[in-house]
Amino acid sequence: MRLDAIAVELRPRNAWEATDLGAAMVRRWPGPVYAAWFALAAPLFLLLHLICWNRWWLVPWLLWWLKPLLDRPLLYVLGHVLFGETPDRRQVRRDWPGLLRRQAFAALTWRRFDAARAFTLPVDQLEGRAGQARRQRLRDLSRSGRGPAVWLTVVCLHLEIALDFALIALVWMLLPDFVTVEFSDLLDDADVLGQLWLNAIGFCGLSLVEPFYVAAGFALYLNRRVWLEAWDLELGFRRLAARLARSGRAAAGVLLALGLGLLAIPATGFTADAPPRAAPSAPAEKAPPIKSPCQQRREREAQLARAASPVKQALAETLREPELRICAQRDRWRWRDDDASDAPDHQPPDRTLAQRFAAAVEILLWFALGVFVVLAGWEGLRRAPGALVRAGRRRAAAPATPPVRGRNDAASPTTGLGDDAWRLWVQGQPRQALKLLYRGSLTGLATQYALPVQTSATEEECLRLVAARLADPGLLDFFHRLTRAWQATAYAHRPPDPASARALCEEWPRYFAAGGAWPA
Amino acid sequence: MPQPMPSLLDTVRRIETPEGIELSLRLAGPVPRALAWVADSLIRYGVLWGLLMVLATLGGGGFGLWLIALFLMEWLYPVLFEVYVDGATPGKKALGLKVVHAGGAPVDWPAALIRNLLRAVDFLPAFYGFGLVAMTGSRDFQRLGDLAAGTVVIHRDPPAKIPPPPPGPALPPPAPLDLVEQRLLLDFAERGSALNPARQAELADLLAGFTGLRGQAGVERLRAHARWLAGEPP
Repeated sequence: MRLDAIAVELRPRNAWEATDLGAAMVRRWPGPVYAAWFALAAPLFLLLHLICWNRWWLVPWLLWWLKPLLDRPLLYVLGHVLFGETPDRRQVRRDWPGLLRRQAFAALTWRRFDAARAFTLPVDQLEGRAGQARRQRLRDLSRSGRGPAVWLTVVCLHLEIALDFALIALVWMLLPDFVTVEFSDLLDDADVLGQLWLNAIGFCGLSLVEPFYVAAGFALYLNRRVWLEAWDLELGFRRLAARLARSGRAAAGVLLALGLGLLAIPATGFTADAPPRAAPSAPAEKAPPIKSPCQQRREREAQLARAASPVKQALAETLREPELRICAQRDRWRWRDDDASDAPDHQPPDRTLAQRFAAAVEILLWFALGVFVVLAGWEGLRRAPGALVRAGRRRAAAPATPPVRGRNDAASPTTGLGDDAWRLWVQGQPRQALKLLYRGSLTGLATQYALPVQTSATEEECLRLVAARLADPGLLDFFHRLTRAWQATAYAHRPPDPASARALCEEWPRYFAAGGAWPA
Repeated sequence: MPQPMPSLLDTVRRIETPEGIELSLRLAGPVPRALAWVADSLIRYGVLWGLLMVLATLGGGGFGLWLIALFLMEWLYPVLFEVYVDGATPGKKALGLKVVHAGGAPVDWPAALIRNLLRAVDFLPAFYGFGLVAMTGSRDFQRLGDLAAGTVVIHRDPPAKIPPPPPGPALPPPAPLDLVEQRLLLDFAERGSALNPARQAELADLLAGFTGLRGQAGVERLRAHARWLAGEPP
C-alpha cells in the first residue's frame, strides 16, 4: 500500500476529529460506498423477508444481528478508494465471498457485542489478523482509541433510532389532509402492512447511518496509526527525500523505502459487534386485564339470563343474537386528551401567597410594558420632529448664510476678531484662538471674497481654492501660515510660537473686515 | 515537491485574512456535537428539575416562574454561553468545541440568536432529523441554523501536548529546507518520544540520503537539525 497515494490529509487528530473525517470520507465518495452497501444489504433485506415469511418482525432483528457482515463491504470499498482505486466488478466477485466468510462465526457470536466494533473491524479485515496477534494488535491500538470508538457506537445507535422517528414524522407531515392517519398509527406494527412499513423505515435509517459509522470507525483506526507510526512524517520524509534526490544534492541511493506493508488491504476478516438497535416491539399480545370489558359483559349477560324477570331474560335472549355477540378489545396508544384534564382546574382562585406573588409579577410586567411604550413613543417623538426642525432650519438658512458657518465660538464679534483670538491665546487657549482665527478666515473668504467654501472641504482644499481664485499674495501667504498653524495645533497639539501667533492675530484684520460679518 | 495537497480530504476550513495569514478552523462534525448536545441537555434539565423542586413549594405562581425559567433555558442558555463564554456551552467546552463565525471571528449576539432559534427548524421532522442531514451533507458541517447565521462549530484544543525533545547538540541541515520540511523535522523531534525506537530509526532511514547516517545515528542527527531549526545555538 503506497502511503503517498492516500487521499486524506495525514495529521495527528484528536479522536473526535477523526470521526468527523469519517463523515467527510462518505461525503467525498458517496457513490462507491453506497453501491457497496446496497449491493449486499438490499438483497439481504429482501431475502430475509422471504425467509421469515409471515414472521416479518424477525427481519429487523436479523438485519441487526448481521450488521458485522454488512459492514465489511463498506470497509472494503473505503480501504480501496482511500488509496485512489475503485474496485471493479471482477475484483468484487473475487474478493467478497472470502471477505464475508472470514471469521464470520466469531463476528456474529461472541464479538457481536463488542461496543467498539467499527474500530476493531479494520484490524480483522484489513490487517487480516486473528488470535493472539489480533489481541496484541488491539491492545496496542486501543490504549486511547477505544473510548471514542465506544462513544461512536453509542451515538450512532441513537442517531439511527432518531432518524427512524424523523423519517416516520416526515412521512406523517407530508400526508395530505384527507388521509386520516394518526401519528401513532404509523408506529403500529399490529398488522402486516404496519410491520412491513416499519421494516422499510428501519432499513432506511440503517442505510443512512451505517456507512458513516463504519467510515468513522475506520478513520479512528487510521488516526491511531498516524499517531503510533507517524504516517504523516513518513510521507513528508519520503517527499523530502525525493525532492533532494531530484535536485541532485542528495547522495545517490536515497533510501529504499522500507516497504512496511502498511495496509494489507485485500485481506479479509472481521470482527463483529453491532450497536444494539431498537427493534420494533413484537406484536403485543397482552394478557387481558382481570376484568376486561368483554368479560364484564359476559358476566352481565349471565346475570340477565339467570334473572327471574321475563324482561331481563328477553334482554339476554336479544343480546345472544349473532349481531350483538361481537365483543372485541383493542388496545392502542394515543395522546392523552388534554381537554379531559382541564375540568378540575376551574376552581375558584384561592388567594394564597403564591397567587398574590404571581399577581404582583403580572402587574410588574404590565408596568414594564407601559414604560417601554412610553419610552418608545418619547424617543420616536424626539427623533421625528427634531429631524423636521433641523431640516427646516437648514432650508431657511440656505439662501442667507454662506456655506461655512462659524459655530458657537465663545467670542463676541463686536471687537476685532484678531483681538479676541489674541485674548484667548493669552488666556492659555491656543487651540481656541487659532480655531477662532481660522473659522473667521473661512467665513471671511466666503462672504467678503465670495469663495464657494464647502462645509465638507478639508484645510488643503480651502488652501488650494484660495491659491486658485484669489490673486492676493499677501492674503495667500497669511492664509497659508494660518492653515499650517491651525493644523499643527489641531492635529499635532503643537501650537505655534507666541510671536507668529501674535503676528497672525494682528494681520487678520488686514485681510478681513474687522469684527465684520462673521456670523454666529 | 508535488502539491496534491488541496484535493486531500480533510475537515479543515482554511481562511486567508486580509493580512495574508492563513488560519485553519478544524470543523466539528455530528458525533462530538451530538455528545455535546446530550451533555448540555443533561445540565439544562438537571437545573430545571432542581428549580422545579424548589418552586413547586410556591404553588401556581412558582410553577409560572418555572415556566419562565424553562423558556429561558430552552432559548437563551446556548445563546448566552456562546456569546459570553468563549463561544461554548458547557457541553461544547467538555468536548473541546466552540462556535465561531465562518470567518473565524468570535460569534456575536445576532449570529448566536439566529443559530439557536433555528434549532426549531433543525429539530424537524423529529429529533434533529433535518439538522443531522444538513450537518452531514454540508461542506463545513453546518446545520440549518449554522447556515443561516454563518457560523461553524470547530475543535478548540490542539492535539495532545508532547514533551519537548531531549537537549543535545544543534547542527545546521546540510541542504536548505522549505517551511514544510522544517516543520517536518521539528515534528519528528517533538513526536519522536511517542514512537518506538525501531520506528524512529525506520523514519530516519528514509532521510539517509540527507543525513548520510542510518539507524539511531540518523535519528540523533535529525534531532540535532531540529534543534538548530528551533533556534538553539550550534
